[in-house]
Amino acid sequence: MTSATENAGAAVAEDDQDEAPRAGRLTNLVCGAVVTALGAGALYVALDLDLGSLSRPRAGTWPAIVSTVLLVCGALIMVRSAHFADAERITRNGYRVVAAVIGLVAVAQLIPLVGFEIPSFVLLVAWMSLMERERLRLSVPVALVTVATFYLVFIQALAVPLPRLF
Amino acid sequence: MDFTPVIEGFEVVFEPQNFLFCLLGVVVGMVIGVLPGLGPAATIAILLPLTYGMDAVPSIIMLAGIFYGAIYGGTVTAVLLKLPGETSSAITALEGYPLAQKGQGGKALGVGAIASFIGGTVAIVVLTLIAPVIAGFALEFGPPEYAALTMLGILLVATISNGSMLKAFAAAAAGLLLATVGRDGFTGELRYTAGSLELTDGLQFVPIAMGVFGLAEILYNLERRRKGGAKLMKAEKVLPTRGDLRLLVGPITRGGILGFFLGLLPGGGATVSAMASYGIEKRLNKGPTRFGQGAIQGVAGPETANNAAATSSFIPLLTLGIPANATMAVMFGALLIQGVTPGPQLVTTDPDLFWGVINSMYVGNLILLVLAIPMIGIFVRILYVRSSILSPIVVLIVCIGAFTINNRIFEVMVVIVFGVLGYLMKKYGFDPAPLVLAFVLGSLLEDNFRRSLLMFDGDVAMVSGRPIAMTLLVLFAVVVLVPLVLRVIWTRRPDLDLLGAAVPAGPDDTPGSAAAPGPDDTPGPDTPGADEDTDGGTRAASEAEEGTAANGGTRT
Repeated sequence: MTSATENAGAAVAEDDQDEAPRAGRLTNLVCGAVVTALGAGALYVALDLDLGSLSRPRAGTWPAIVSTVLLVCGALIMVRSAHFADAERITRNGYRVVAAVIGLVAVAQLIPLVGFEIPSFVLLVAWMSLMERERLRLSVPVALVTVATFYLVFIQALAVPLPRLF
Repeated sequence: MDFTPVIEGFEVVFEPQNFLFCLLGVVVGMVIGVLPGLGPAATIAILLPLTYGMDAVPSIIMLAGIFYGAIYGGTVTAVLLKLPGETSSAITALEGYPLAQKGQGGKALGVGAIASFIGGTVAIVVLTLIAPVIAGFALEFGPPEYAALTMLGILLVATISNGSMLKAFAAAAAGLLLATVGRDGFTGELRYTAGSLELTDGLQFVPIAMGVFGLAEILYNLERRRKGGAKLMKAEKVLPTRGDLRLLVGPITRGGILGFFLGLLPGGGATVSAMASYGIEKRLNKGPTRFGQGAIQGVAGPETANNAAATSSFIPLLTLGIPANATMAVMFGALLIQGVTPGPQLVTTDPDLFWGVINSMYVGNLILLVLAIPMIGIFVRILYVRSSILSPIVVLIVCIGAFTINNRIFEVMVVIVFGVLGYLMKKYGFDPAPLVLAFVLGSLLEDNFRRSLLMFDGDVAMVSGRPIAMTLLVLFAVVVLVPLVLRVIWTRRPDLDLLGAAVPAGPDDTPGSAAAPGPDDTPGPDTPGADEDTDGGTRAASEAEEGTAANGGTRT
């Protein structure tokens, strides 16, 4: 029930955090459309996999059943889109999420090429200083200590074969 | 009952290595669980890679320790920051935070630790006695029974989980679909791999759980965070007085019994039991302290109940192989990684693991009690560390942990993809818990569903000859139909509550279950309970809201 956990946590901490604005009908309609499209696409592939029969189920039997459920759920979400009030609008702070994801993807791609040390250091400094507005005189030493600790723990102590520069 | 294996289980726990990992698990669980936003499922998911190189027994003992350590860690933040690490702790915040505001945060945490210990220990004693009985009963299960039980488990989790039921069903269906990715176990055909070699063996559970629970939470908080830390409360005078203890006997006893039985049910047992306990204690309260202003009974009851429920939720996992909630789903994944298949045979095939894990809970709960009180000061200091510093470090741990699964970047990318998916799900009201649970149970469900069809030669009516499977399917139908029937009743009779009893009219009279704290149980609108209800913290509350709205009431 982690999500419930976090939602409750977020809710309880309302005093300490910005309250997210609620999203409107269009957002729920799009959510339903995405779910429907996913179900329809999966059903198309399942049909291609061979449905078999009830007495001799094949590779596509179960995916077809599940895809149909997904498709129906998506359609119902679209139909009832005006009745939902649980979606949150992505605020202007959403750029932080986009930046964080781009940073993570970049780090994941760079690690095999240049090792984990430099990408990890840059990610930590960028995350702390650019996204969280911590001062460089704090983020740089924290990043250095963190990367050094990870090096000692994962490379030296646990012998994890992480790509590394040093 | 033959107690020899039980006693041998204690020998397993007290092996130095296992004892050390139990201790380590509890401490690590408490420390990580204290970090706001990281509940037990996220904590276990993030730390799973640490167990790869370990034997099954110490790794599961450590993860169990992390589990109840993290639950207590959530209590610390709930009391001191009004920021619970998990939903069940949100109920503790209702009374714990006002106590902290009065300078009695230490007492609230101390009572929480004592109540958690009692709740957990009582539940383990009962678990010890009844788990083998349930496992013996489950040996009668065949594919139809397992298929029906798994379906019922997923349905109940989707039904009780956070947010809209329809969206929870969609999430569960998506989880089942994700479980089909890879090679079909019966025919060997590739499904939904899009030509990717990495997907031939299917998606792995750990990166999905790390993404959906761990990274998604960090991304979600990243968007919502505002500069400035929370005001911290002091936590002095930890031990309750004799007078307090007299007040607490009733709430602890009731909470323990309630929590144990509610924890057996699939879906949010700990949360529901904490809410139920709070509701009961509030109704029974005749003392001078009003609920909502720092009643210590409101900490003791829910804390006992949620720990008892958390412990009893191990029963369906270990005896039936069915995880009752998302945290147990992560534990299920951890067991599978260790080559252990939870189920009725586990008692006989792997008694060391079965009794070792169960008995480690006695020891772990005791360690928790002994450590919790002196560590309160340390927890308070941990809370001073800003999340702006902790978040990127945790993200890096997640990435390195994902890499260590197969020593390749693919898993890191899977974590990122599912982190984004989890973030979007949270934003748009889709509870990720049914997705993860359905993913874990997907293969089990499909295998048993297809085996059942083969057994019956396609004649599904033959399931009527199997009483257990039939009973489970009837339960399934009841769970599906009851909310629909209730909605019809609400539409026609807006003055009736969930149980059909008349409720007084008024703007605050949102229908609520008898067990869960109703609207009059939750203090003001700035309280966790109130937020929980409006956010759909429980299905009952959510359904109630829909019912209210359907009647032209205020839609939340």
